[in-house]
Amino acid sequence: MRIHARRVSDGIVRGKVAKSTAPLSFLGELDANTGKVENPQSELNGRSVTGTVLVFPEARGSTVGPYVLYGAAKRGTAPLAMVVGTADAIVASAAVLANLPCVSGVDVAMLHDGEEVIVNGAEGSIEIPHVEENRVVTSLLQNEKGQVLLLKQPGTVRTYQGKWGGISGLLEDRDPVAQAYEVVEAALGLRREDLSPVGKGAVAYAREGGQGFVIHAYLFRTSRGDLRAAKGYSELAWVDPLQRAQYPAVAGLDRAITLLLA
Amino acid sequence: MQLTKEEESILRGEKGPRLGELMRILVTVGELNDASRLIPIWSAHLSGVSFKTMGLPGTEFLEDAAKEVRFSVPTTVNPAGYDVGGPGLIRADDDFRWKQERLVRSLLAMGAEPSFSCIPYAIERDPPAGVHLAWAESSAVIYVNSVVGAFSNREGAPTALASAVLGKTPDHGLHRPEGRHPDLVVDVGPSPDPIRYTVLGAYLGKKLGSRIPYVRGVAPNIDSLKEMGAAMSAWGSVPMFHVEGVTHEASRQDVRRLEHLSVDARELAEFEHSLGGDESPNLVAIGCPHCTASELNTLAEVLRKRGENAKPKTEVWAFTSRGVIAANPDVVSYLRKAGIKIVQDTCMVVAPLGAEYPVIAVNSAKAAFYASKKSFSGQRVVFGTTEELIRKYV
Repeated sequence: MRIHARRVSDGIVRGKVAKSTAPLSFLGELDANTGKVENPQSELNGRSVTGTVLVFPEARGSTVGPYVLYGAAKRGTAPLAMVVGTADAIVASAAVLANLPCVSGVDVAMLHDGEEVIVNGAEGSIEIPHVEENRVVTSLLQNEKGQVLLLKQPGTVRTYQGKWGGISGLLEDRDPVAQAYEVVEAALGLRREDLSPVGKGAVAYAREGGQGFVIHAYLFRTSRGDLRAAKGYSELAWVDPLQRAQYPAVAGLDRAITLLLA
Repeated sequence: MQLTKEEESILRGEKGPRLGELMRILVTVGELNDASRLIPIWSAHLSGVSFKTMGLPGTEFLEDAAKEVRFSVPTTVNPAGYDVGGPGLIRADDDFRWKQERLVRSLLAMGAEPSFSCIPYAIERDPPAGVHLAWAESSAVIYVNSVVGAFSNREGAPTALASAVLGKTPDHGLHRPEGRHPDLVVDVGPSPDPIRYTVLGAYLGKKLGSRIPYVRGVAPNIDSLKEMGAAMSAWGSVPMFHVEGVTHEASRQDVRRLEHLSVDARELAEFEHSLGGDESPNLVAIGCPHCTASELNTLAEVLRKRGENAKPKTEVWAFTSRGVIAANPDVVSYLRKAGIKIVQDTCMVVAPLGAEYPVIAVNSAKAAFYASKKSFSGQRVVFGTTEELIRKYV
């Protein structure tokens, strides 16, 4: 599967992921001589990041940190590329000084430690070759109280039995917005005139083992808060978005709601 | 970003690979922050000057850069790891001194002014209101934004260096009028004692993160503004503050729709208590950020009150800049006669003092923050006002 990301610095490399879910400070937590991480909070503690795709949520600590990565690059101990959740001036300067491809805006949960990926800093993407890509369209409806319509998958579907989600379908190779209206009509019988689109939609990524999901999500407001049943789903509920954690969800729903309501 | 033809050419490496790399830093950071262009700066101020904070890779970077590029705008630098131009009051081993020396030589070769101070605004490069700067010392950044009315983001060591060479900075954040608006109103309740601004600053910094406060109910003088800002920008990453009726841009702000935070004297007193323990220090250190002339005068006043002939029973060091020392010979000589060590070019945070002085007494909440950190000095901290520290321990 392929994940779009924000370009930070150019270059394309293929390499194995070394992942920290803890923020990293280059100064004091990366040894330029050995390439080893020294941070007990990190899964990478004691491990070398030399020649890896270094994945971490964000940089912290001293702004002198980028010079450590420069030193690592000079000594041949630097990673091959960086993938970060949020890039700041420390990450950006480090990527430039060590001359590494770097992308940001990626949920680090999408990448697993040790797997092989291709980081494309020129176009802003990450390819995970061994993960199958499933492209999905998901429509979320919101009523006048701000509640979001969640629908429960029946026990008969192949994946995510009994899990809650939006109104979804596999995305075909044509206009996703048109398909977003179509899945709503198929499930609920609502037409375009019953729905007013909110925002521009969002792309959320999710992953379960070898299956990856690229979710094109759209939010519509509707005055039809009286909906009681939906074709293809076993149950439905209008849910306050802040309470959504109480509903065991299909992959990517949480992220899609976060992006759509932002 | 929209770049000029010349900027494009530098970015492509046509003026040399090092300039291209530095331009790429500015453009990358600019694009990350949705800046539309680069703007010229009046001066740069660099952090990453002490070998203690830079380490060997940083020193090597400066050496490599010094072979190829020069600063194109006035550039001041932060304190070094020992008193590089002074009489050698700070004990540091030869290896540290040698590496510090290499680092300093590289900076001077690129054209840095030998300021070695975190208060370049006091003497060396006092910016007028309205100019754009690329400064990398957080306490100086918050001061020039709030008190002077100049514009600077909180630059990091590499971005400030790139700006010093290229004479430009990306136009975003504090350089834009909309980046200087307050995010919330802080109401400070009545205090039985004179307010301790360094404590208030630290308390707010911890609460605010990177938000800009509009503070009401206080009337700090210029030294108090300096210490409050320094603490706020160390305990948080606050880039600027407004004080109603006091700071430069406060009267222009519309605060009607902002959320409020109330602070009372009791909370501040509790917080102050957490800043340090109660034991005898090996060293009383004043001047974080570096002492201004008026802070040296305050120290002299405190000593005068306690009697001319009393010699200190604990060492007292006052850190300041060589510029302040040169401009204020009278108070400096008075303090020296009173047994105070006046230390230039370095400071209690970036000098390697931890081993020799495991318990340090400070009057600055910024110093308290760093001194106790393992990655800095790992010291135990005693906290009080200048007057309290002198009375109790000296």
